Amino acid sequence: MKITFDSITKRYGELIANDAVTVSIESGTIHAIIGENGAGKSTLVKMLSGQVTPDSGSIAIDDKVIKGFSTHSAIELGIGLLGQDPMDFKNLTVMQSFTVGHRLNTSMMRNGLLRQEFERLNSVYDFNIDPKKKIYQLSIGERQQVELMRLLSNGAKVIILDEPNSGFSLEQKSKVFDALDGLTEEGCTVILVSHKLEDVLEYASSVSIMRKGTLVDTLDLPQSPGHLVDLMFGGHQEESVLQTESVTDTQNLVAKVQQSGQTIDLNLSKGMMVGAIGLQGSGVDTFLRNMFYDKSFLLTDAEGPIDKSSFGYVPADRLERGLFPELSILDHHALSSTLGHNVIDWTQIRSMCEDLIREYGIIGTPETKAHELSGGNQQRLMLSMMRSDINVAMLEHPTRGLDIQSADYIWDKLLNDKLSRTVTVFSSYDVDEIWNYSDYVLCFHGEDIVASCSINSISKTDIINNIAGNVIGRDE
Amino acid sequence: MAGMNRFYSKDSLENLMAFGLALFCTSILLVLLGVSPWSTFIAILEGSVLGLDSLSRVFVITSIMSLSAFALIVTFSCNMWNIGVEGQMMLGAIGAVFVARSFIGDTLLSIPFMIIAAMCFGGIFGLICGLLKTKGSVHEIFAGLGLDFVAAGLIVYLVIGPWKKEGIASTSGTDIIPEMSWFPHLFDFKFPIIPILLFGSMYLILRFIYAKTSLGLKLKSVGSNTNAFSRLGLSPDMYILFGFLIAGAVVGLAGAIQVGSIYHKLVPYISGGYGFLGILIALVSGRKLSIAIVVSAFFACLVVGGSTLQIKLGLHASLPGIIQASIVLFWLMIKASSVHIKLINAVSKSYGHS
Repeated sequence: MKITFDSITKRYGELIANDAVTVSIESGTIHAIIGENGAGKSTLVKMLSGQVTPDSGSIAIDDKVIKGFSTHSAIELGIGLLGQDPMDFKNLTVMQSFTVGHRLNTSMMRNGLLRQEFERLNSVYDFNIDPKKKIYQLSIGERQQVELMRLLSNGAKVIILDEPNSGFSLEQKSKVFDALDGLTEEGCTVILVSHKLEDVLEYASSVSIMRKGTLVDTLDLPQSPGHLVDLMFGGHQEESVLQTESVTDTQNLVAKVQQSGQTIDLNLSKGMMVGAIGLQGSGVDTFLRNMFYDKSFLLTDAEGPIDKSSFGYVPADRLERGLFPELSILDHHALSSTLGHNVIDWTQIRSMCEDLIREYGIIGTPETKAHELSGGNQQRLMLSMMRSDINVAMLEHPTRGLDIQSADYIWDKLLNDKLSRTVTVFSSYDVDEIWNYSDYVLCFHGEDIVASCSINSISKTDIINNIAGNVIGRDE
Repeated sequence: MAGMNRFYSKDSLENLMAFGLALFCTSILLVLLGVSPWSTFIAILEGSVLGLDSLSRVFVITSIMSLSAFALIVTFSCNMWNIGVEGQMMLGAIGAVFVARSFIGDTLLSIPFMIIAAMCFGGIFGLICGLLKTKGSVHEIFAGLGLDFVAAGLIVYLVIGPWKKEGIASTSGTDIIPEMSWFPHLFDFKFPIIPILLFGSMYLILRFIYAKTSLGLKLKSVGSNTNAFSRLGLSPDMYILFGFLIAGAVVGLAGAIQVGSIYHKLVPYISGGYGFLGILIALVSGRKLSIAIVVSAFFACLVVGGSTLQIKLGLHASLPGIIQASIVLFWLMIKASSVHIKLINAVSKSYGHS
């Protein structure tokens, strides 16, 4: 099946997830779609699987434009999506989960036929999955194998893999991709959405690169990994420009970080902005959370370890970890400012809250509940809750999903406050943010910190190479 | 949090509107059953508030229901379902009877100590439920339900065992406690001063906790998001335990009222289902303390006045139960739909409010 996306545009409010994207995917190929977080890859494939409707543009299958995509019509057309979280039933057995929604599962259960079909696929693809086991007893990778068998058995001609491989072991991954390789020879089309360049280079025959909702290019593989990363991140013409106003003078702060069972020392300076960068799925995702919650993490200055009560943590998932969705802005400020008090002086808190709403430009009243705020305003609320006695600020992806104005505001605020704090650590997937705002950079690849140094002693290309892993380094 | 319990807040108005609609739907149901809603409600009203005896019972039952609902509101604020509220009330009753049967049972000290013991027994039982939840990872609904059975079993054991009546062991209850341990009426009006004082003071204390103290805000926050709560350096487990402790102590008082004002002895199933009714009251009142009192008073009128329906109108004794259940059911259905909100918007529009 040949798939053509023609001028696909999708907006979510102000955010353009896909901006006139045109891609053509040949039949019988494994085509990869790559891009950094928020590039619009998942939105694009969700339209093909009928989960998202485009605002404009069309999708054609075998040069025939399909109108009114829905999940049902996508299944009818033989389009199957294998996502990061398998869509199965945890309390059922493998066989039962395979059976639900199967084309052979009509009003009368045809258990014998279904069992034969399962056994056939299990042996053809060498998956070795016990049909009697409960789904919750399987690993994510095995669950994805069951899901893949169900899709194939239902006659899927196009298989979309949306970042599926994080749960695969190496053996599982090679089995799944061997199976997919075989399928392309039978005319199936496989779309692999990934940010893992290694997988893309190993398994795909062509690639589309997306950045900030637009299609940058579509290329045949193999290509130089460095070139692909360059296209993903949008070049780096400013790399020769060194940071100004960096704080790198004296190394008067030591952070002891646990990594692969060992403790490593990072030599920092007071007042620094430390930027942690890595691709999605690397150790950067959990680095700050671990620093905040892990008792073994130590930050030491000349006077000894810094008291952890002066650590402030702003998580990336605002409503899941950061805020109290049902509480008002006033309640949030009361909570953060009266931790040591028994009785709340609401008059004083209200006046402080109104000041903070003004100072941080939060669009809302003291009575507005957190879940009613926009993402940008939720982020502003979290920053406004950071007490003045916080010495170590840890911020995960502080501008994730924010519009430019909100993002600029947040950076201004953080840069303004950095000298009054012992250290500010933030994480980001965006190399420009790291380059523009860090004094010190930590590069993650896999679970490990592969480079840690002052921003003045590293180039933007080196940052990209480090986070892309050794494969890039060797190539360059 | 400020003004959480303001009677005229939008939430409260919404709930009252839903309650009114539920009452209307129940009236339709009564018409379908061939009963006049008007005469039924009038009979209930007459049987409950006209007459010192019945009015006194209404006050006592309102107190018991309100305290149960308060306990539920506290744990609901921590996002916990305290199904163990029945057991906590039973333990409160055991505590009160324990004091009344002791050497101070026949003294002036008995009532204050009954109250203290009821709070402690109920509170500790609530705490056990909280510990099973936080330390044992047992879902609070199962922990609470299990503990309800434990409490019921404990009462039966006490009634036919160590506290059995002189000479016989019967499930009809223990011996009557000394009169000095009975909750007194005020003057000749049969005004149940102690139950009213107990639930009134609990209302004021809880209102103060939720409106003015950091503890109240933390109880509410832990229920909203435990992850965000621990991010602030606070222990979610500790505040969930606090919630259960407070709830148990509050509903333990209801157990003391059952002993001191109604039964004057320990009987099996002394909680009388008021704990479970408290869950419904807490839901119907939109988890608002003040509205919980109004709803409790209404339900208490149904319980007390309902008994006269059979005599006055020749209706079946199950009718008050049907009315009670229908109101709750309709209320839940109305809340799940947006009918009441549309109605409020229409009303505020016609009065020129935003």
